Amino acid sequence: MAMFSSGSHFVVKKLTALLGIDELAADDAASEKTKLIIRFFYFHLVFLSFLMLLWSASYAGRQNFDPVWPMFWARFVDAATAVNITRYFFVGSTLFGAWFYHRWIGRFAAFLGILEFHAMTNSFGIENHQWLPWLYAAFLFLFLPCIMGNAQESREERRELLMIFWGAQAAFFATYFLSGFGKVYWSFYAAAQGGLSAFVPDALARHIAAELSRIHSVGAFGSFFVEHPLLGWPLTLGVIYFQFFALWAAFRPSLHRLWAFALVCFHLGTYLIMNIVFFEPVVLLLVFFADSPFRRPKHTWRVTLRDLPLFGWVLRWVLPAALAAVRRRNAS
Amino acid sequence: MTYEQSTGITLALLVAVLGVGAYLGITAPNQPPLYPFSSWSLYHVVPGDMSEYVLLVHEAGEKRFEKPITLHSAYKQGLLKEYVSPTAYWKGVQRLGSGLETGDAAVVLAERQRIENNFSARPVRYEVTRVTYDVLEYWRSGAFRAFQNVGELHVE
Repeated sequence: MAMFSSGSHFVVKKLTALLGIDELAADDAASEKTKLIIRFFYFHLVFLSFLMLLWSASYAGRQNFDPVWPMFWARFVDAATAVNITRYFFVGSTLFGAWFYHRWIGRFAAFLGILEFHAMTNSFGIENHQWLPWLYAAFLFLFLPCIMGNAQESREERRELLMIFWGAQAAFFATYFLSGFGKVYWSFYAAAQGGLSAFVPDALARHIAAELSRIHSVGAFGSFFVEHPLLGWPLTLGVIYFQFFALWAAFRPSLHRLWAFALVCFHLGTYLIMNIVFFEPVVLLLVFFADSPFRRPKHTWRVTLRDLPLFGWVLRWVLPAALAAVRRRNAS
Repeated sequence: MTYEQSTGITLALLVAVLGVGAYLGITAPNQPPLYPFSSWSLYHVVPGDMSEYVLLVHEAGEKRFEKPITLHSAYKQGLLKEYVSPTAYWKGVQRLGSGLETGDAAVVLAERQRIENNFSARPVRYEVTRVTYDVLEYWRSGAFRAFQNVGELHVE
């Protein structure tokens, strides 16, 4: 027990230092920015619930309704009624959450609204995971300290606020990491079996061609990359890089902005090349990371470069060692 | 709540998202998710020599096809009630084909109902065929390398 306690104490201390939470909690600049982002989160949820009210109407007429567990109550009504209750509840709950975001009950209503709506869209045998980062953030925000409407917070409360907000950021980037991890893991597996890995030059061209044969849809630039497979290679490697190291970036505030814009470009690219509409995370990427509360003036572009996985390691360790070796040789 | 507790909750969620996601990604990347977690395994297998099932419709309602058409073409011709997601239909056809080949009656029944109930007219006559092809070759020529019929199905 004592070992576990000292272990968890070590993790908390290390994480706090890595994110600079003690430094950031010394004044209210970072916490005010965080509170602003969280306010926007709840206000924007209302806008999204309005959009979903429009776009989700067709769910009421769909077949094969098989409710996932948060929609346990849907077994007592017909599918169309369950869908409509969920759609309107989403609007009502997010409106309540936008008004009372500074109270637990308001944030709980918004969480319940997004949980039910997202569960409804997953209850037709098709996985819809676009909303998971919003759901994870809404869940973590239930544990925010009671300072959302209060300017006079203590240093301890600021630390709690920043940690919970970072949790929402990290859970979001964890989803990209999982996608990158899957590509890397299955690449090694495929290579061992004599198959094709995600690192082969025509990987993107093959994905686009497969999309066409399976789902009869490619983006505006899809054909171009099938006809010129090598041009798609750096894009594929770039996507794997930014996805796989997204979790790494979550722990390094100097990388937050770069990763946010890189991943936004990734979503734009997948739409233009493969016609994949995956836009819900774009707002969250920009709001959470483009001007991250954890980013400080000391995070210059040099620090960003140094913190880059792989390339930064070369800059930090390999390059200085090589330069030192050259200097030694010249001196002798 | 203390700062340590906030950190604990944060890390617990992170471990759950990563742990369950990685487990699903390694063991069952194409299986249904364990809500509210997901493997996020998207495009993790690079298509090479493909062997998959296609559903070819010979007859639907009053329409008969000399050259059988795919489910997507059936949708284009207004023969389906709904066409929610091409990926979902593709997965359904793969389950049906696999069920037919392995003799899994429960899977075949479930997928047949799902597919057949979606046709707006009766009777429906269709076949499930396993095709082999290379995606890039198929892109260029539009031709499969090999066909193997795994079942001919009919519903009044």
